[in-house]
Amino acid sequence: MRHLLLIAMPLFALLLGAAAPAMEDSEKEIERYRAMIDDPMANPGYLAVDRGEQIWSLSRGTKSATLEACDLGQGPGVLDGAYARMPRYFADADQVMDLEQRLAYCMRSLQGLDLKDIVARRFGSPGKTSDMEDLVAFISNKSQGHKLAAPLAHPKEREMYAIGEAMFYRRSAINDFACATCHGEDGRRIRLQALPNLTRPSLQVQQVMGTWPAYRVSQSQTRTMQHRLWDCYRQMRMPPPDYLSEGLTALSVFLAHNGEGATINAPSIKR
Amino acid sequence: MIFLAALLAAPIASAQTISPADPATASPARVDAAIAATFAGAAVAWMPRVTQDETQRLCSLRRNEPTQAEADSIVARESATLVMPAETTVLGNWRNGEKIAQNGQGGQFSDAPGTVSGGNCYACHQMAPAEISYGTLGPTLAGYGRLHDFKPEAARAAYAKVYNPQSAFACSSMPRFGHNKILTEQQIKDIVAYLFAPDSPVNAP
Amino acid sequence: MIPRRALLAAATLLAARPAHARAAPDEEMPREPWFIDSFLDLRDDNATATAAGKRLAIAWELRGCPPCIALHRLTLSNPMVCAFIQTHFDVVALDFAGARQVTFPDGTTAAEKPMARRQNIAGPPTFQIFDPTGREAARIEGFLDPVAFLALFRAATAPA
Repeated sequence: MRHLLLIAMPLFALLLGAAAPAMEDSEKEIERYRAMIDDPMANPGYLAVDRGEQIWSLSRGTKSATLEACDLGQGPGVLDGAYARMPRYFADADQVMDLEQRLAYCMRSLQGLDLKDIVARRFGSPGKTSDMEDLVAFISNKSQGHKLAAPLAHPKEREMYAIGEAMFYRRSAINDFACATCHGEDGRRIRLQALPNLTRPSLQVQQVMGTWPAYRVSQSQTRTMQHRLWDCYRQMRMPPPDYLSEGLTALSVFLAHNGEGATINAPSIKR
Repeated sequence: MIFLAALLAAPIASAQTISPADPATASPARVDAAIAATFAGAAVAWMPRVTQDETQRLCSLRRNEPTQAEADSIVARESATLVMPAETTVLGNWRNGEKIAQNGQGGQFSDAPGTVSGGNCYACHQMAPAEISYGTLGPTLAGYGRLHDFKPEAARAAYAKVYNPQSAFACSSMPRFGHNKILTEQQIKDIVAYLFAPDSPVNAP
Repeated sequence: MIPRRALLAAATLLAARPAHARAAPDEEMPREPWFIDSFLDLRDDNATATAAGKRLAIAWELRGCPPCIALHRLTLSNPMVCAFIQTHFDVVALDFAGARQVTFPDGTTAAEKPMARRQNIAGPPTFQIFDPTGREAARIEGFLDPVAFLALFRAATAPA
């Protein structure tokens, strides 16, 4: 239908008048549906939140310690608003980390936990939950209503932003795809699926970055940004990126900056 | 006068942005190191996908907006890779072509071994007017053969564009299906038939 | 303006793209003989059009693009359409995938492809019509039949 549309300059506003109410109706319908499934009682992602809360307080590892002293950037054990300010630079690790990298750091340093099993279960599947997905659901939920404000002041944060931006535009593999191939322009679709333009700060990026992690109905699991990027690289015909690797955090820094100001609604529910 | 103004403005502009000690840039080597770290665990057979050829490198660097000289050099290099079918007709079976255009499988690490790749044309292009589930990343191809008067030379040009779109459009977003061996010669011929067969639904009015 | 145009025609011949940059013969950009030649500083073209009591229009095109071909064949070649547009508009064609530097009527400069993105051109063909101050006054997207196409061009010449 696009090729039959004419466009939006004042002279033609009258001609467009007929189409507008129909569009508003369907948008309202979608909004109503969103509100319905965002109800915590109806969102299975909140089961992951509950499991994550228990894992946070679970003593384990060679040090028989909990994660409760883990510093996510707001001080040891402070969870409120921590997720909304990540990824960030951590001086103790001298590294920019996203939430999952930071949790892995705390598991190793505070709990003396062997990460082999944690990494093996990084993505949950039916009958096999993921500690990381559960913890991210729990901790991100503690930023509910906060504005996304990942810091970009430290030189390493700025470097990670630049790496993430370069990676976003980097074409490779047999299909020559980059993230920007699908997410580089406004108003494009793949099949009937609308594609957000993620290349610069906008409301669209806020809507994306404010709604991860998300319970994915198609996968019956709560998924994190690490999983989302892994899945993007799968579709880009690249090999699987390493879990907790530098590049995924770099992309998250780039995206978090473009989504700055997003109101966190996590875990959300998605297709 | 303009030159002078630019000189005067320069230090102010750099002071307002970023000092060298506070980089918002990363060198190509630093980016490559991050890529290497990110795909360190990839199987050896997959590693060629992580590195870039010259066209990928230049298009990435220019964000798909090459200068005229760069565009000409890309088109020259990619045109030289074209392998055209020996016979004059490049029209295969449009019914197979339709299946290939609809098929988005193949090439992913989650695919079963031996998965035959599709072209997934509908992900990005409108083709048959009756198919409403199409993407808009590429231009519409509805009526393609009809509007090219079903000319054999236009069909050959279409074959070349599917085989290697960058032989026609530098830094095109479209995969180089033949060049990168995603599709076979027969599959590309089938897609060209889908575009050019007079009885193909692509050419329905 | 006429001497400049003659000069341009000569320059175009001299600067012809190398043979390897050409696709098959059918892949030439569709073009109407009454489209104007331009040095691609569209501020000049807008001033020329305004001085002649016309509006400047840009036609975004792409080699081989079906709706572009259809628009030329079925609509732009229609005698009513081309008579009206020639009388009231100067039309400059730009390549949606091109790399030539172009300065827009508002003074911004970029190569064609990034300019198309900056202008949020959804795809070829698209016409942009400018007012004498260089602001976009109307946009017409995709293939339209002669009646619909002409109606939109007529609307764009009506007093605001």
